[in-house]
Amino acid sequence: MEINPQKFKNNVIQEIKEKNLKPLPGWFFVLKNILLWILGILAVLAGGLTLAGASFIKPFAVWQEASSMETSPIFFLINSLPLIWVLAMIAFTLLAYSHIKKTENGYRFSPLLILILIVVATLTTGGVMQAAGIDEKVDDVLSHNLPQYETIINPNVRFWSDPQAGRLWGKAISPEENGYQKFLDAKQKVWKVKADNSDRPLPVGETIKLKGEKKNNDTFHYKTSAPGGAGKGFLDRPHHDQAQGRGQGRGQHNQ
Amino acid sequence: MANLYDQNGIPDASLVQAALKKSDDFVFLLNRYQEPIARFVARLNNYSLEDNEDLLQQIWLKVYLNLNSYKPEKKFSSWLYAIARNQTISYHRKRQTRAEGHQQSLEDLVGSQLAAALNLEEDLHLRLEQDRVKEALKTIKPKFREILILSFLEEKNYQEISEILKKPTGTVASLLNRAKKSLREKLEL
Repeated sequence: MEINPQKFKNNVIQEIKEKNLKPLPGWFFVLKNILLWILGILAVLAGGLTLAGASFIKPFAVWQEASSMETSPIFFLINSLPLIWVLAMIAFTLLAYSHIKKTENGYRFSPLLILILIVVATLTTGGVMQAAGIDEKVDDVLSHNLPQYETIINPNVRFWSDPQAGRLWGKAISPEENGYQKFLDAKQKVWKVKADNSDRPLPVGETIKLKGEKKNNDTFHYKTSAPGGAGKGFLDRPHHDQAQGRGQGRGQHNQ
Repeated sequence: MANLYDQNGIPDASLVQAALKKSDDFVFLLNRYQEPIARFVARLNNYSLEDNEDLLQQIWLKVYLNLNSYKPEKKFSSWLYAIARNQTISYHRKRQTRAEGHQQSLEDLVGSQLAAALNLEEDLHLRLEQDRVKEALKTIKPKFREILILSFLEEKNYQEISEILKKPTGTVASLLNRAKKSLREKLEL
């Protein structure tokens, strides 16, 4: 037994009339296509932003630094792979790909070609954003607001915030006085830091990483200092201002 | 306007325009494509007659709703087959299982055309091979089955298959080769 064609056609026309169905307007499909392109482009922009942020924050730098120091394998593993950056890049790339593939003519192009074009567009966008200084602004926003910034976004901060291991990260908050400067670290603590050699004082207000030795609970002598890189906003968070107020009193007492 | 009752030679695009103006005139598209689409859908799945009819109803309603998305510069049949295919996939997903019931069997044409495609025509037991081909077709992956059906039974070219499956033509060619290989493996050739 087969479908009765005449009866079938009548049923279809009848249902169209009973349900008062109307074809969707042409502009709906045009808009849908445009929306897919917009979403695809937004995903590329987000990927570019991620790339720009990563190039400024340099989350993978900790690989090189940790490997040149004696650190435990577990510590190295935990600190050395900032997965969030990798995952974000993959997610934005795939999002862009899936939207562009669904556009009216997107299916004609090979998946590899579309991916290559997306990667190139993302790299270009990231480069332009970097040249425009947006990379630093990305870090400002993230470091100022995001919880776990020092672990998942910028693991350099956590790696260098280990005074027991001779590493300190933060910013100098006072000029040199009697060889010492006040130094605010990532954990809201104010240290008295001193150069072991007769190095020039640390610049006030910039992020710095120090390598040296912890002398006591709030004193650190450093051998080398280097720019601390991204994360300035992390130290400018409201609780850090309170720490600065507490630190001034402590610093005077220890001198 | 030309007399739509005599549909010979009237381009699909004209029938689409007529249907957009008056819902009754949608019947002319149904007249032209109801049978090939019904055959195509029946080849894609193992549903009973009743379920196939239900699915076909859904397909044609979807076609009607989406008439304004059809571009006259493209082949109407490819656009139509794409909707039929997508709706079949959605229907299957919603049902989760394949219906048992009274299943339609693949027609003999399936076996002979595919057997020819696999160069089995020189086999002395051609009829037996046709039946084996039909059985093997049911066991290969759905994506392979559908491309074999589109290519050898619906006689679509690469460009048309590309428009139906929404894949680049290079991918279509590769997929077709893999489908033939898969069928051959099932036939243990």
